[in-house]
This record gives sequence, structure tokens and C-alpha cells, in this order.
Amino acid sequence: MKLIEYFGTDSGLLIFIAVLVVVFAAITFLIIKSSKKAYAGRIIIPVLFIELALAFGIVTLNFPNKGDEVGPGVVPGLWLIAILIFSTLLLIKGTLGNEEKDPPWGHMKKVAAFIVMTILYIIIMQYIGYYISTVIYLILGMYYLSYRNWIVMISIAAGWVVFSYFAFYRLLYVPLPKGMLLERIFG
Amino acid sequence: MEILSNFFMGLGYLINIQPAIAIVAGVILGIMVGAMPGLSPSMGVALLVPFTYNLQPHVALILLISIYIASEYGGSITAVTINTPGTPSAVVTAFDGYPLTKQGKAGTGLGVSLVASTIGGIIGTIILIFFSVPLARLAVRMHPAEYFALAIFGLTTVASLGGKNWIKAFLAAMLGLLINTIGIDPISGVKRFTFGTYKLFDGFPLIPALIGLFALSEVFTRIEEYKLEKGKETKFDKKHWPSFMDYWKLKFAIIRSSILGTLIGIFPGAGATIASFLSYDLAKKVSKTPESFGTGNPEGVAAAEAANSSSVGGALVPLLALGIPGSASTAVLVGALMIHDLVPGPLLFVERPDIVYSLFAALMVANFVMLILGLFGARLWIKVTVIPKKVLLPAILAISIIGSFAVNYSFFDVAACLGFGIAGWVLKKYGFPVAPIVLGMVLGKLAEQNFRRAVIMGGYKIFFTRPASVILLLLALLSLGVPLYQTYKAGKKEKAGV
Amino acid sequence: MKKALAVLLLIAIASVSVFAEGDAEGTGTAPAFPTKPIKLVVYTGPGGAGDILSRKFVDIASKYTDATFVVENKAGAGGIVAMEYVAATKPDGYTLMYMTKSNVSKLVTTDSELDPMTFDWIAQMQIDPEAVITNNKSGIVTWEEVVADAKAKNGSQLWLGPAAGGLDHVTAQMIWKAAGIEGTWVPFASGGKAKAALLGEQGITYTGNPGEIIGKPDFSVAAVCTAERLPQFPDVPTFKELGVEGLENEVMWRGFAVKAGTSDDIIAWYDDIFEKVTNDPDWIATYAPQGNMLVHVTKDDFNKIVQADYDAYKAAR
Repeated sequence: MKLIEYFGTDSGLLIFIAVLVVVFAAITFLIIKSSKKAYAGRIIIPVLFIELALAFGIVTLNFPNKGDEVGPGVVPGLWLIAILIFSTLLLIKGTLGNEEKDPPWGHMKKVAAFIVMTILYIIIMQYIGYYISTVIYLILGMYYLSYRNWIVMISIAAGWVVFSYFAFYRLLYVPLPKGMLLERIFG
Repeated sequence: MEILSNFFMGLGYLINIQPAIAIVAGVILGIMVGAMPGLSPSMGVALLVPFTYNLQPHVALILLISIYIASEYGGSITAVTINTPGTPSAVVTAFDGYPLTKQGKAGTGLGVSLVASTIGGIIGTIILIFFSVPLARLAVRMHPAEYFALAIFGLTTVASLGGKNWIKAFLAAMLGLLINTIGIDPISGVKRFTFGTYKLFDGFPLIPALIGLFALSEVFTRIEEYKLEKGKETKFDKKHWPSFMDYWKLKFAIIRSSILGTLIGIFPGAGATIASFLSYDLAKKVSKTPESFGTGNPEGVAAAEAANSSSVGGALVPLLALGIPGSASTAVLVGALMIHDLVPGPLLFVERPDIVYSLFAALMVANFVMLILGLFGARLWIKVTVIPKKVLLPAILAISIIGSFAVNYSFFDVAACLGFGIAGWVLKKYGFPVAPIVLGMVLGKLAEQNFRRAVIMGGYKIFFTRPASVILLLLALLSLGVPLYQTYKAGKKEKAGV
Repeated sequence: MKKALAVLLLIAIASVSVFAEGDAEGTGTAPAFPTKPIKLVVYTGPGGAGDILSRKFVDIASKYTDATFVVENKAGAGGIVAMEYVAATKPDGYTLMYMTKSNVSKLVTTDSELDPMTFDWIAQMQIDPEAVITNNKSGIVTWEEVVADAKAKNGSQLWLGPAAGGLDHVTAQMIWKAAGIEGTWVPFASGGKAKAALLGEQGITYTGNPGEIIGKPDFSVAAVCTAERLPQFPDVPTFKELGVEGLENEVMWRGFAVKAGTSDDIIAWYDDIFEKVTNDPDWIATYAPQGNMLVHVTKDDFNKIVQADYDAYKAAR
């Protein structure tokens, strides 16, 4: 009980999560080295869910209960128990090889590149504003997927920006980011 | 038949230039708003409210109601063409609509969703006009215990959605339910899983999560496959516009789903999404070929769209009969009415019958306008499916980003959308369906709050002492058990066959 | 390629000029304040009650000033998001925020580090008294009937209303204490849903504002938390008349605030606008029938009210 309370504090929770991460890394390492390598994903994902449920569970056990009949922790607790049960079932299936093998990896680099590009887009948008960043993002995105028709690329990017200006900014009053840098220069 | 004569009087109001423009403009805007991921019907209505300040009250109302009804349909367009539900309820439309597009039958998907939406909307309106008073009385009798049972009933549809993958489907639903508990607990005021940031006080917003899980994950999957340059795209085939006979075959599915959708729409807080899930599930269960659902069965599209469009009529029942909004969109309508010094409620029928009946007439007419515009529009939207993927994929990403931003004007939401997109992509890769996550996020609050509220009001026994609650819970048990048993039997047969 | 870049540049310049436009106008001969549009931050989404009030204010204010108000919705966390946003602005008067008493209670219930005096509370505009509302058809309509039923049920009488810890809940607890009865608070997701449940006779009372029953003949107001009867509800008794003391001033208020440290000249400019809006016939015609008391309380007094409310919430925790 004391231990659960300790893990509920900020530093305790960090330690708990650190332990989970180490366990996760160890399991991942072991699986990749073992004969179950082809099922790695089928095993790792349930493990991840179980760890997630444990971390949320620790937080849940520390919810204050103000004397209600059903406190704030009851229902999340129920969902967490269900997650633990279903994940364990999956884990057993995966370890016994009753699952299909992992799907093959496709163009992971391309996906990663797109994710990074999108993150950069979201960050840069806050500095140089929605309009410029979107034009750049769209053109780069199409270029990266090896599309080379510049007229189509530019007209789509420009068309979308104009459309979003009228539809979102003018008609629906969505305050599209103007960009901190530009606001400083012009405002 | 005083109602009918009033209704025709209401129609009379519409034969003016301003209301006519309001309906057409409203339907066009509504379809746009619905089709735009991120702009849900309630936001579409809300964002247009300031625009209606200077209009006459009934013109303003006609405009907003047209937007509301058309946006419930609009969500299906992107669901069918690019697997990106424009509204939460269109998630269900995508189950069969997108497979149809993949087979080159986008015309079937779009046609069926349009016709089912129209008929659903009309049936919902008819029920609203004739039965609003008794139905509203019924709606307020719905006890938290029954809401909880309804939510559980809704959750059990996961069992049949998941099929052979039911464990993963349930796990996904539980994940959605857990995500839904993040934020300040509305019953006790305790902060749950907020990790010290006020940005999580309201939890993860549904719309950005929805966009991420569906639109972004689909884009990532496509990029990963990257067969973009070679391989022929499945081109749209003109032969697949449905004929009258094709629609006629769906008549029972559409009527059944419309009635169910209206009924569920009536209960404040239930809403279009649950209506779609339940009527899809029902259509699958009564079908002779349940295994064809999820692979491009037009009946699935019809069931989902008829239900979510008809729920609009249902949601207006408590608003007009009692003055209580039944959905997020109708809550916004209350505000719009108040601006014009109109107070929704039973007295409105007495004091301003002109407003009420022009609203009814507008709902009816808007459905037909939607049908006509939709038929023209479908010829255009179908073109989306011939846009080269190299252009379409970055465009979907850009639409998703602005859509998730538009919900709360917050970059936190945009980041959440991207996070959900990555998670959805990985989960889909390993055979987890993402729709149950959305269902969990929609049903979570309904289930939890009503569960706790019911216990506060009458202890744990209350779920078993109220007949309606018992019946709903038994139905839920049935709806859970039957598909699981069928899966089990099918699995056994398979093994025996090998 | 060069052509493409040129077009790109052109688009960039065009889009820059598009959003630069708002800042260029208004300078020159105009008086010292305001020289640019004023942001009015609203802590609810578009279409919410606060949003509508703010837009109504903007609409009416435009009769009296050339200044442009731009409503900006910053929904989330019951107002904390918007308050954090305004707290981070400069005290130059160009960011005005719509505030209600529930913002003050939110600061306390979420353990926010924001001090209410981060803001100058410059105009209290509406006071909406709390009231106990009952269902006409339930047989328990008047305050006496509510009390009798509560005593019979001994604590299990159900009081419906919005979330626990909010203004309505706190008021209900004060009423129980003052009247010597006990009840069970059933929190709903919104006031509307609680009212629906009251109509379905799932509980006995709903705690809210009298204006909420206008146009809905199924409801009655059993008693209201004011010193005197409301002119809009001449038949509704006050708690004081019913012999329940200490509930003369339990109200919801609505008003506006700016970042603390805004200069007195700017606040005087606002005082003038708010005074004119308060007396505007359109404002009165919209809000008086809803059961509100329309007032105009200026900075010094309003600040004191807010501090007192804040301290009371703190003490109640």
C-alpha cells in the first residue's frame, strides 16, 4: 500500500515508468534475439498495452475519493482491468504462435520522413503563419512522393491556401495562425 | 388536421427569395462543413451563428437547420471517397463505403449514402412533426440507469464489428474508453490522468482523434505501401451508379434505420454516432449475408447514413417540445434562437407558430434540395477518386491539420491528431480496427457518468429494478453473445475442415 | 524551376499582405485608444451563452464607438485556457475577456496558479440570482413542499444540477445548511440535461437561474436567492420571506476583465462604453426578460467582489 502511494507521487511515478521502460526494452531485446522474431510485433504490442495499463493503474489507485459511492477511480479501473485481460489473451496467442506472423515493413523511411515533415510543418506554422508554411508543405509533400508536374503542384497548393482563407478565415472566423515572426515584423 | 394546414402555411413562408436562398446556401455550406474533416455538424452550425445576427429570425433558423441536416450527410462523402469520415457518425459509413470505392464502385457508395440520408432525414422530420410531444415525454423519463444500459448496448456492437479479431476490437474499444476518462472528472471534479497540464483538463478532443485515427493513419499506410507510381488505380466505373431497383432493395434497411435513428436521436446525449453504430449492427444481424458487411455492402452504407440523418429530426424533438437541446448542434440552435429573442420550448408553438412550422417545412425542403444538389455534386466528388495519390495524400494531410486546428484553435489538438494518426497506423498494421477506439471515446462519458449518476440516485440495484434498464442490458448480452458464439462456431468449422 | 520559385514568392507576398491588412488601418487621427482592433476573448465555443452575450455586446458597442472588437473563442478547461491566454498578454487594453463567477470558482477547483488579481475586473454587467426550480406536475412545487419532502426522505432527496463543485452545487449546499435539510446532489453533464431529468421526475429540484424556465411552463421557481422579489417574477418568494436567512445574495454574475496594470485612461474609456451599453434599450430588451439584473459595477468594486468570491471558494475547500 505504501509502495502504491509512493508511486503516486511525481518522482515515484517517474521511477515506475522508468522501470516499465527498462522491462519493455529487455523484452523487446529478448524477442528479437529469440526464435519468436517473426512474431515480435504481435508480442510487443500487448506488452506495451499491459505496461500502459499498469502505469495508468498506479495513477488510478491514487485518485482522491471524496466519499462518493462510486469514486473517480472505479470506472477507469474497470477499463484498465479489461485492457489487462484482453492484452494478456493476445500475448498468450502471440507467444504460442497462434497469430499470423508480423506484416512486412513497407517504405518506413518514407513514412518517417512524412511524419517529421508534418511535425516541422506544425512547428514552423506558428512562426511564419499558416499560409506560407502550407504552400511549402504541400509542394514538398508532393515532390517527395515524386510528383513533378509543377503547374499542378503550385496551383493545388495556392488553391488550397486561397480556399482555406475564404472558407475558414473569412466565412467561419477560424483564426488561422498568422505567425509570430510576421506579427512582430508587421504588427 | 391542423398540423398539416400549419405545415403548408410553413411551406408558404419558404416561397420567398430570402428563405429559398437560405436553404440552398445552407445545404451547400452544410455539405461542405460535413465533408471537411474537423468541422462537425455542431461546429458548422455554431460557426455560422454570428453570421445570422442580422437576418430575420426564421431565415436565420432555416439557414442553420439546413446546415445541420446537410452536414450529417456531407460527412459521408469523404468517408466513402477517401476513408476520412467528415463527421463522427460517418465513421460507420466508411465501413462499407470505402471498400466500395476501392472496388471502383464509389458511385454506389455515394449514391446510396445520398438517398439513404435524404429518406432518413424525411422520416425523421415526419416523426418530429407528428409525434414530438409524446416522444419528448418519453425521452425525459429515460433514467441514467437506462442511458448506461444503452451505452453498454452500443459497446456490444464491437463484438460483431470485430468478427474474428474480436479480442483486438475489444482492446481497441477499451483504449477509447480509457482515453475518454482523461481530464477533469465531471462527477467529482477530480483531475484524472492530466499529468499536471491544464491542456488535458478537457481530455483528448474527439474530432482531432477521429481525424488522426482515420485520415492520417490511412495516408501513412498508403505511403508505406507506396505503389503510387506503378499499378493502375482502380478507376471509377460509370456503370456503378445505382439504379432505382438497387435503391428499392434497400428499402427495409433504410426505413428500419431511419426509425431507429430518430428514436435514438430523441434522447438528450445519445446522438447520431450511436444511432449509426446500432443500426449498422442491426442491419448486419438481420442480414442473410452478415459476412458481406465491411467488404462493401451497400446496405451497411444505407443503414449508417439513414440513421445519422434521421437523428437530426429526433434531436429536435426535445428542443421544440420541451426547450431542452438533445445534441451539441441543437444546443447551438438554442443560442441562435435566443439572439432573436425566441425561447425554444412548447410556448414557441403558441407564440410563434410561424417560426416552428417554417422550420418544419425547411427541414423537409432541405432534404430534397440536398438530394438534388447531392446528385449533381456526386458527379464532382467522384473525381476525388481519380486524383493521383501523390497529390491526394499530401492534400489529405493538409486538410487534416487545418481540420484539427479548427476545432479549438489549438496546436495541442493538432499534435494530438498527429499522435493518434501514428498510433492508428501502427495499430492497423497489426490488425487492430480503429473504429472501436472512436466508439469507446463517444460512449465513454455516456457510460461512465450515467453509471455513477444512477448509483448516486438509487444504489447498484437500480440497474436491475428498472424494467427498461433490464431489457436493454439483456439485449446487450444477446448482442454480445450471438456474434461471439457464431465466431466460435465458424472457427471450429474451419479447424474441422482443415 | 525559376518560374515556379517566382510564383511561389508571389503567393508568399500575397498571403503576407492578406493578413497584414488588419494592422494598417486605424492609425493617424484617431484618439489615443484604441488605435487597432480590440480582441474580446470568450472562454466558450462559438454559439455558447457567453459567446452570444459577448457578440451582443460588440454589436451594441458599435453604436457608440468606432473601435473594432474581434471576438476570439478560446474554449477549454472551463475557462482556464482563455485565462492563461489573457494573463500572458500585455496590459495594453487590447485584450478584453468575458468573465463569469464560474471562472473564479474554476481557478480554485483546479488548483490553478493564476491569481484572480492577475486581471483588472473592469465591468460587472449582469447579475443572475440562483434559484430552486421544481417540476409543476410532480406534486412538490413550492418551497414548503420541498422541505417537507426532504425531511421525509432524510437526505435521499435528489437535487439535480450541473457538475459537482460548481456554483449551483455550492449554492445548493448553502441552501441545505441554511434551511436545515439534507439532500443528494446528482451532477449532470449540463444544466439542460439536469432540467430534462427534472421534467422526467427523476429528482425533486433543479438549482439554476430563474431565467432558465422562461418559455417552459412545466417548471416553477420555488424560491430565489435575492433580498427582494425579482420584477420579472413577482410571484416567486425569496428565501428570506420563507424564513431562510443568509441567502440574500447568492448569484451568478457576468462581466469583463483586462490584464491587471492597464492604465486608468484606457479603463475610463471602457467605463464609458460599458455605461452606454448598460443603458442601451436593445441590451435591456434582450437581457432583462431573461431574469437578469442589469448593472454596471466598475473596477474597484468589482475587484473587491471577485476577491471576496475567490476567498469564499478557497475557504469552502
